[in-house]
Amino acid sequence: MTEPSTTPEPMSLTRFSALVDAYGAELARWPEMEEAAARVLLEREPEANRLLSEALSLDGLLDAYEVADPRPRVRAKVLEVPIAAERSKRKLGWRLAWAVAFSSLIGVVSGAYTATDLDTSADDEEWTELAAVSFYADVDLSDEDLP
Amino acid sequence: MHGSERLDGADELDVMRKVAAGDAAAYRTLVDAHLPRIVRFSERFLGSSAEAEDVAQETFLRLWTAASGYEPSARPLTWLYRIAHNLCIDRFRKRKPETQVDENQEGGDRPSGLMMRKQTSEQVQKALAELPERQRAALTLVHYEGLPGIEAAQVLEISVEALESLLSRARRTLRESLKTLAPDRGKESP
Repeated sequence: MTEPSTTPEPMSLTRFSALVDAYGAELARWPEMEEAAARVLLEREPEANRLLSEALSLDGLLDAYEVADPRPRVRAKVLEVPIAAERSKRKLGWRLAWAVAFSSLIGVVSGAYTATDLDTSADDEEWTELAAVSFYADVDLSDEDLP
Repeated sequence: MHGSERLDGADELDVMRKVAAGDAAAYRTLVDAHLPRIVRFSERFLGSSAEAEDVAQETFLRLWTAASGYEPSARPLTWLYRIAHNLCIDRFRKRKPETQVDENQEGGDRPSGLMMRKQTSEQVQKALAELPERQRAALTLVHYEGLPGIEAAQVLEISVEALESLLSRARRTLRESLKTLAPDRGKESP
């Protein structure tokens, strides 16, 4: 088995320029496989050093924008997520149970109401019958009039 | 960088499996490892610490509720960044234009020291906020979060070449918009 070569593939100035444009002056941010070749180029190419210096200036400005670590309150809230999720799942379960119970109750009540309503209809029918009887009571229904 | 942020790849996957099984202690481990990164990323993307905290909370809620759907093709951290990035984009697009950046920074007498650094920071924040979303996300992930190009590309679901193009355009725009600050405020050349 042969030992892998420790000498990186040479890097062109064009590639170096593209990488410095994208990743800036900090070689640790560059693709790991190209870092060694970039260092070799930097040792022999002044233009590569100039490009790196330019990029370093912008890196410095960008680094001035710092943001603080999150407040402990945020960590506490985020740690509560599983508890809150469990609570809301349980609440949802209860809500569902209540919804089923409520709709059953509605069903029973409306059933009872409909039954009462049917009784009223029966009363109405009785009244219709009585009205008809009283109407025919005024008519002379002697036997000769009948067919 | 926060001391408790380190979590090796294999450990991270194991912890993720436990989270998927509803293990609250494993969830706590992931929060301690990654919460600061998610908050910082979101704050740099949105320019608002309050919104960044909301995004972080929502990101970890999704972690807890959807961990079983996680596929180990990317690191859990990459997956979290992707969730946070999508939430940031949703929020950013819902905003009214005037609420995007705090621009209430008027220059008075020539500042010095801490004040100058604060002003530089605010100008960089403003310049960053003016970048197109994907350029801003790419720059934040690579420059500020120190993600390798390949992982940043996974977060944004693009190729490494496309990521490098986004980064180049972002840096070019920033160089232009921050050129008034550049000569005396950048780092010294080596």
